[in-house]
Amino acid sequence: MSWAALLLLATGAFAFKAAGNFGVGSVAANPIVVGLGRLLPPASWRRSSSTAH
Amino acid sequence: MPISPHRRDAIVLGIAVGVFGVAFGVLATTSGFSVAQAVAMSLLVFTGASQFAAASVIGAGGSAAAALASALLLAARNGFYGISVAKLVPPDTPWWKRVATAQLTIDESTALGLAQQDPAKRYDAFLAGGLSVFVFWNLGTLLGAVGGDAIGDPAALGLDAAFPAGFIALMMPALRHRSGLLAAVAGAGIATALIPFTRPGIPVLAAALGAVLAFVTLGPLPE
Repeated sequence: MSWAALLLLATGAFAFKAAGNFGVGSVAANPIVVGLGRLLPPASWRRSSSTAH
Repeated sequence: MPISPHRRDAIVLGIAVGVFGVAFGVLATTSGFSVAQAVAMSLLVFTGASQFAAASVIGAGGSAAAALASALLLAARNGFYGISVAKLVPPDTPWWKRVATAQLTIDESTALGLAQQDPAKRYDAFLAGGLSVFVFWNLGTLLGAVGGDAIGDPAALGLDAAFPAGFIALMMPALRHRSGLLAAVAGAGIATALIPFTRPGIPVLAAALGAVLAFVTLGPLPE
């Protein structure tokens, strides 16, 4: 395995670790995500809408 | 000053994993890696299953792309661990310590941190486990890579059973709860069923569905 491939593996492995530590876990608490979530119709509306189709 | 139980456990766990580090060092050099590459891989990649996968594929004559695919597939599980570990990190932790936390996020450190009954001790146990494994894994790799044939295969001495036994011991508190038990049994069943048919990495990722099944039907583990 070349040094370039080895460094690529190290980068990829760290990316997964960091994604969990910094990214995915905090996405739900991010103010932008929370704001976008508020733009979605309420769950009750979605339920009644889905049963109409 | 007496050492706290979770730090003592971390040292014992690190020594057990260090034995695997020796095995990895031997495997890496016999698979064509230089000593420097074997040592660099343990320092920078620092996730044993991925390292073994990469070295095994290269040793069997596979391409670097195949080695990377297998190794990264296995490394993906650390992303799941990271989500749990993020909850252990105190909010005022400096960025450099968070980066170190990410690098230390592996099976052993996560299990040791989450196994603590006292929430205040979880992050310390995680760090102790991660640092201990990091030190012994890298020392083991260096020893195996340099010593090579003189050391032989640690598995031949039966030392390979130490790590799984230690890991099961860490899981025991979670198995006392119905959801933890269901997650473990379902995960083991899923992984065992997939091993003969899928490439390395898929079974361990699919096993996470066992936890989803348990938490959906029985709810998450109590704090």
